[in-house]
Amino acid sequence: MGKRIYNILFHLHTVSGIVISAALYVIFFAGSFSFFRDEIVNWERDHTVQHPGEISLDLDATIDSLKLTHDLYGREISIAQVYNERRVNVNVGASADSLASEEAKKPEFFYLDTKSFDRQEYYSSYTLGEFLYRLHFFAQIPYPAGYYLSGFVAFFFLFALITGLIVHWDKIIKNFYLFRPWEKLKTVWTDAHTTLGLIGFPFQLVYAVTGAFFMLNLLLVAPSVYVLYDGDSDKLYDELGFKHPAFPLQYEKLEKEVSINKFISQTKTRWKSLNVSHVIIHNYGDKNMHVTVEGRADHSEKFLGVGEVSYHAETGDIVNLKDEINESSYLEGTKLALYQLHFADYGGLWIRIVSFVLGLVSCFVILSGVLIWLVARDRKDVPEKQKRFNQRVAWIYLAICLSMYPVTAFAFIVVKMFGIVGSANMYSLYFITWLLVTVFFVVKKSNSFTNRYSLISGSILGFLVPVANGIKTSNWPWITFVNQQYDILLVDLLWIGLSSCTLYAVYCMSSYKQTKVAA
Amino acid sequence: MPANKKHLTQSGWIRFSKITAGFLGGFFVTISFHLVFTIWFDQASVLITSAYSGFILWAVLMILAFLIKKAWKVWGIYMGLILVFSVVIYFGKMNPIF
Repeated sequence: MGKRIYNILFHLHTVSGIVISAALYVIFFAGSFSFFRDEIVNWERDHTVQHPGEISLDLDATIDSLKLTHDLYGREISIAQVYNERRVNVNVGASADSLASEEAKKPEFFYLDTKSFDRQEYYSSYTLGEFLYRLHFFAQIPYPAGYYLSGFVAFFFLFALITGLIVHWDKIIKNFYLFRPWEKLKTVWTDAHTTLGLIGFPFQLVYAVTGAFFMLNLLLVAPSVYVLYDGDSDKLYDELGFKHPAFPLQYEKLEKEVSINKFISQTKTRWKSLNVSHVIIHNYGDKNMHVTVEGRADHSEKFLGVGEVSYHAETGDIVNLKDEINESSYLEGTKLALYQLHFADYGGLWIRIVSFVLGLVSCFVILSGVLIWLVARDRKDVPEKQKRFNQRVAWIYLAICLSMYPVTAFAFIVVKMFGIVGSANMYSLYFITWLLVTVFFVVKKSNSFTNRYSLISGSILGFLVPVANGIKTSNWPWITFVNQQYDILLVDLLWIGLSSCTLYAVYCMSSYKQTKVAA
Repeated sequence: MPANKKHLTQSGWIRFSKITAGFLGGFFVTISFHLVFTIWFDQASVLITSAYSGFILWAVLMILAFLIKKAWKVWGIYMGLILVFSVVIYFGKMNPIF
């Protein structure tokens, strides 16, 4: 590689990296916890989920009780298990009947607990798990600014990944085994940045591309809509298979009793490995009532696979069938793969644990990059004013990023001890503590102080997370283990594991300092 | 060590021109390039492919914009590509057997 190309790419890597670094750190840190979003939510609520990925609800009984409060004729009722929580999403659409009452013309959405049958709405039942999940694509910043911001961070991350790989290309093998923690700080950061960056590269590439796709797909698709579909985006989403079949209302009451459960079990005999995650009842109580049952093949059986059947309710005839389980198409396979690769939900718990670790490794790569940037500019020929500016940037970046660890652990404890739910409470709890801790570290003006004390406080608070859970609910790890409440156990163990690692890191840093002093 | 400045674009205007050429030009080259394939292949399959290939191509085009020495050359090449792809798409849409 020529000197010119090397220097240009190096500069592009530095600039794109330093601009997105803090935002990218937040995305990776919150994103790593999002791998366990559902477990965290269940931990907060003290719930155990029996059949992950599947609606475990008697739908006939549910509809019967729904009838008591709603006029259901001509409406579309959708029941979906989106997350592995104890509750399902229930959506009752506006009645298609033009003569329906005003009440029936209003669409309604709520969550239904499958055990207590409580109805909940979104904002008042907002959890810390949901908060961290949404933080990883900046959903707390008003739509669409937050989505686009996170999307472009992902896109420029891709840019930084490619330039970084090319810059490092010639030294990939030679420097892979190079780690010189006893040299000056800059080589420590550089060795860690390049080696861990290379190990994490495939993982990070997948997340950069899929992340950009989730948040910026509209940008990519918009011009195509005009060229291919004459501006009709409905047609596009239809062709991409994002829509479910629709049926017109016949304006004739259906006399026959229809069992939704029967259609579900009928669908499950077609595909043995199917987990039914979504049921739609079209035109309820009408002669043209239909039932659509959708699900995914269990991941232990198949990597990709969705199945969907629509039945005519009165006759039981199958009117629409999508079988991607016996034979996958390129379109459906790609769509599903983009999601599954990002959510890491296809290979059991271990894939998620490995992804969690790689996510935190990425956090480390980001911060070591910032520190290389800082140290490389700490030279005699750099003007004093510029140096001070760089120093301040690093203080602020490190304070924002590293304080997330103790703040997150603290939020887990507070949420558990005081039973905090609701979006407003969660925002205040997390953002205010985060701001205070950040300001504290910025005022301290020392990167090593920020690093050391965020790790120590995070470790201590992290160890207290399972303690808080035990005190509050008596669900100590040994009890949840015996009772097979694995969601709750997992969150406790996650914190014990993470805290142990960071405490060990602090210990290593201390002994490193001592040898330095001794030398 | 930071990158050696002597190899970087010095003028602010030229740098701005390269950035916009890479970002906007690269974007439209990516879009038009993928649309060309809808003439021969299934539209939905091409679009879902662009979900991942699109972002990678766009990023690569942004990098290339900085590697080409002259900013006007970047603009020239990208505009030329967009023009060629657009003409192909236009005639492809008119005449499906094309």
